[in-house]
Amino acid sequence: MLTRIYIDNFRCLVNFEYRPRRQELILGGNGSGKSSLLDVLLFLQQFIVRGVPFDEFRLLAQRTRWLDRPHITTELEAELDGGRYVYRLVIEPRGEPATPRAASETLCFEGKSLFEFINGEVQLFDDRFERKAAYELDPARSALATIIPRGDNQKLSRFKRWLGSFHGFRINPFAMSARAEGEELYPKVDLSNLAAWYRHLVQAIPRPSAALRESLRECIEGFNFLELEPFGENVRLLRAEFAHGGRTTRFYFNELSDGQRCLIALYTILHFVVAQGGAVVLDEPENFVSLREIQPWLMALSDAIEESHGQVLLVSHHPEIINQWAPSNGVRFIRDIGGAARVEKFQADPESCLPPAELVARGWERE
Amino acid sequence: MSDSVWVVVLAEDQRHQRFVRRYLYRKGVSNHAIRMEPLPSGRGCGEQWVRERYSSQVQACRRRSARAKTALVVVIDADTGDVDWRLRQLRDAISQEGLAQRKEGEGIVHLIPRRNIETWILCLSGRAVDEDTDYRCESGVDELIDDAAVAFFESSRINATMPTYFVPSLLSAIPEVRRLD
Repeated sequence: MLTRIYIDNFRCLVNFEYRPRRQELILGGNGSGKSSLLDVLLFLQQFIVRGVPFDEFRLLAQRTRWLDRPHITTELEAELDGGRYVYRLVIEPRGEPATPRAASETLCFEGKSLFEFINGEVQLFDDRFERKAAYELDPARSALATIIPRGDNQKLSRFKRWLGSFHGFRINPFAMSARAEGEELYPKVDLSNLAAWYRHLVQAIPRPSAALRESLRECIEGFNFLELEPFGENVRLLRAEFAHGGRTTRFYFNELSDGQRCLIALYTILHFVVAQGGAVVLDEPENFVSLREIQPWLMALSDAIEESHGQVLLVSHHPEIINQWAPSNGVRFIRDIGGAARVEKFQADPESCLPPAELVARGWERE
Repeated sequence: MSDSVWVVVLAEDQRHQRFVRRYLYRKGVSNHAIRMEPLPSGRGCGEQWVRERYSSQVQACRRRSARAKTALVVVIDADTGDVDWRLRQLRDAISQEGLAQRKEGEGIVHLIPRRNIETWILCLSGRAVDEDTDYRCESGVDELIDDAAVAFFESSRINATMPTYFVPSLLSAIPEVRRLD
């Protein structure tokens, strides 16, 4: 579980520290840093797990405008299998024109080094924290990303596996298509590759498929099942079968309504990620979903967290979600005019007789 | 596609909600049939929050029950009072609105844990508890809720044997939940 994230010198996140719990609702006005947090988490996942180089992120242009500091610092802390991992990455500009490079990248377990990458030199340690290898590497990408799982680096591999199961979503039904030109291991943030990711999921972990089908039958009228129709060599088209009065009709995924596509996406995330113990950040998941369907999905999400010990950070402005999650699981991102963002627990006036969402709508939760 | 909501839950906080939600699932009620009313904004004002909303929820559920099966489940701690005192408060709340009192068999369920929901959760988990001690700050309560709700369901079935270790407020909840049958 992600227990801490620290970000310094990225957009409005300056010396920013956030300690999320297992189930959390992130509230905050526009421009308070909520999306920036998701972007940093997505960057770290792609950088460390998928080995995407710095050059693809345009990080230097996103340094805090009112500071004149060269370095961007990020830290991740996670509690996994009873131990505490700390990952730290310091990014510096190098050369002319300046390009981002890793000044240092380190991973510790219970305060002891598993991996160090400082000034272009990698130091590898085994599971007993004994120095194993040293070599030079280009700091244009994560050196941690290049480490292959082996018998003597299981702790390091555990951290990477966990981060690999950490997903961030900003669902956009307009970007989704029915076409899956293969299996994709990782979902895109907007889920534009839902069909290809779904194709991978049903192959890799088929068990949640039945639960997904049941959930979708509950929330989409007439829904029967999802299937991947062969369409030429290695291509599949995702489509949904509906049944009405003894007749069945099939619709390609792109022919479904925006709300139906979002519901399929939300329940896919719920059953294939959260219910498997994974962690997700969902940015405004309720967009496009009918009011009738928000609370049942929220309840099912709570069920999945409680049963699988997954982790969910929701970013939402929706009253339905605020009313359910804010009192016990709410945090607020606050940003004073032109200043840096900080995090506070949602704490309303205990004597207030207004629902939490109404307090937020009035701005009274800050008083 | 599921039917409309038929169980409305008016609860003090998230633990109360979770206990009832898990109980209802066990009873075969799907999450599409359950409506959780908003929780209070601040902590420590839950019982007042529930009492203030009770009358309007009773009224809404009664109006709909004329057309379709509808139930209201109210979960409110007795705190340092007793169950009868809390019931009186609820009766007064609807009297003040000019509404008729709850009839026998009507689908309005009052779950009133004494001292609080944590007392029930620990009791249902087999722990020796009393109704005067405040267990709200006990660690590990959240992990016990799901199994406690299942135990509550099993004990509330027709012909189920009533465990001897149940605290009085928990025993008084058994006929209450049978109003949902």
